[in-house]
Amino acid sequence: MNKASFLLLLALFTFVACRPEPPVDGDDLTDITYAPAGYTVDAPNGFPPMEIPADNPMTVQGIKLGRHLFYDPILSLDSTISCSSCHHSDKAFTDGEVFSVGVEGRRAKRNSMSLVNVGYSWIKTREHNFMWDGRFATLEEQALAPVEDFNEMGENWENVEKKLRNHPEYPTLFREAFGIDNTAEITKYLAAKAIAQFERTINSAKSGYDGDRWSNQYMTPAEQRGFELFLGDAAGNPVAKDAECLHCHSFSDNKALFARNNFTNNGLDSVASFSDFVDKGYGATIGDPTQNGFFREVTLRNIALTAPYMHDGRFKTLREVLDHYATGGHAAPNLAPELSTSTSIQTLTEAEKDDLEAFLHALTDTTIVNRAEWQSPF
Amino acid sequence: MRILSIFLLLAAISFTACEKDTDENKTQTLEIAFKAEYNEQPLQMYQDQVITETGLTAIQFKRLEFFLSNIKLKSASTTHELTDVAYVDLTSKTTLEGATEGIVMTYEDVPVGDYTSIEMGFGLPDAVNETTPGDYSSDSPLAVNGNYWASWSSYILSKIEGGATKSDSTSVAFLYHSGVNGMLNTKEFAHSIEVSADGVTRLTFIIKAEDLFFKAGSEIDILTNNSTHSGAAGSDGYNLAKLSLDNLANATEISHH
Repeated sequence: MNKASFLLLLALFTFVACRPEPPVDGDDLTDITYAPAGYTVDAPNGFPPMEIPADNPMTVQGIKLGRHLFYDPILSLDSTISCSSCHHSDKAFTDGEVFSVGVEGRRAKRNSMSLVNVGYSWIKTREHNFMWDGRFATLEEQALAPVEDFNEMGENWENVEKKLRNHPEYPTLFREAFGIDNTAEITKYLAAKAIAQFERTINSAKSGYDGDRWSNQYMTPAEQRGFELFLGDAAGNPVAKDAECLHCHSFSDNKALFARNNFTNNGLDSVASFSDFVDKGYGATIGDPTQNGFFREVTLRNIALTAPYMHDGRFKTLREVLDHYATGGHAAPNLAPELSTSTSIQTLTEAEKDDLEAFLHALTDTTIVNRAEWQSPF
Repeated sequence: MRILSIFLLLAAISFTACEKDTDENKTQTLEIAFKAEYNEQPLQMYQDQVITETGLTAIQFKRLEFFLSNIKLKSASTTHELTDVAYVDLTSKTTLEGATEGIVMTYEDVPVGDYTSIEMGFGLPDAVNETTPGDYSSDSPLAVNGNYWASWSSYILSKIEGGATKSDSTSVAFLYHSGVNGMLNTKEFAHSIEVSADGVTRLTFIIKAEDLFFKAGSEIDILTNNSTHSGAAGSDGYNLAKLSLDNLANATEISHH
């Protein structure tokens, strides 16, 4: 062994010896300070204070952990997919895909949903609040699912918990967020709580519509005409042309979600019976065939950023969506009566669709795209 | 003296022993159930009901929900308010079992006693209608955006939706949404109601769904007037919506079973 080789070997030994040992299961964490700082969600313009589950109070440290987990592919089978893989901030936290890409190139079964203002979709007395088919009551429940979805992260939580417990940083982050005493206390439930906390910070209400709502100077004439069609006879004129949007995309001045948060059949497919829906959606969730083909009515905020549209991403553009609704929807035994009783939706002109599309663009909040606190911490 | 004392003691004991056990200040639970029926059979949503009205052969309900307000138990001497706002949603009653069961609202701590009537408003008072969903916690029906109609600045007081089959076998959908101030219909149901200290009392209300459209004198012609979102007071849309809400109130009966 020459002198150079000897020095190299010595350096290698020194490096290995000095590298900090990763925590192992059961490692004591009590030397790490636990001093959680409470966090209050800033209610965006025209929104009420967000309701937070009593068993998951928001803290600065919890949000920090959640942000790390959200952007970390450690949750997936082969460390290629994170939550952020399907939820990009520049697309209002959707991904632009018809069906999201999961591990090993697998495809999710439904279109990625926006996370903007998602915390406001929680109705605490309801069992069915999240996802296209409403199968989760809380964000915490929802956050558990993608890890073990074969087509998404394809992992299992037992492995993820091991990876997190043996990680050089996560035990500290979990300690700071939740006050655990040792790494063995890192669980999927705490991980989900942290992710949910981060998601509850992603809120937006600085669109052209919002500006106009508070100061009447931001929407263009086309956007305003579109808004009137959007409101239809609700605008105070019973004979006004009505695009019937407001039924499902409802709002009030102090809760301007542009979403009813219900489930409905918006006439995507023509079926003769309840059992004919290929994707049964909400009906399968609640075990009620009459609700087959029902899917969640999504918020229209930032809708221009979230193409393609519908649970199966079938419409590439907003115009295709408007063209669909202008048909009145396809026949089905549970087609939304809001569509089947409409007298004017099928008479929308191309110019009126232009105006409606302009209004939908006025619901875009461009400030969400690059908000530093929502970007990857890595 | 000793005999007198003994006598007084005995009298006091006898008085105490004979004193009637009073229910004053006791409370119990009261349940109020709502069910819909069609021709005295449980009304299942999404099930055809055969009808013989002119031009129609069947009717099918798909949504039936509405606000109630200021539900009060009354007697000659007292009034007890059970709640200021409630929401009856029978839309999920798609099975026979569900339709038979209806929905049940539970009120705790109701003063035990005999009441002679129960009063409730179908719809909302104008003052409540001035509020908006953001004013309420999400466990309130008043917090639901879908129960609110933005530019009328009004809650949707009732929703009756469904479809009917015409004589020529084609179909027509219907949707009646009532809203706007001035529509509240307060109704008092005379009924002997004993809230007993011995256990839970249940009152059951039946909505006779056929009366929503076909009761003589207050018919709604589905073929010619199949939809309303309400409207300005006095407008056709308003009048139709008001009629649908009034019909709902009048179609509701307290069960004597």
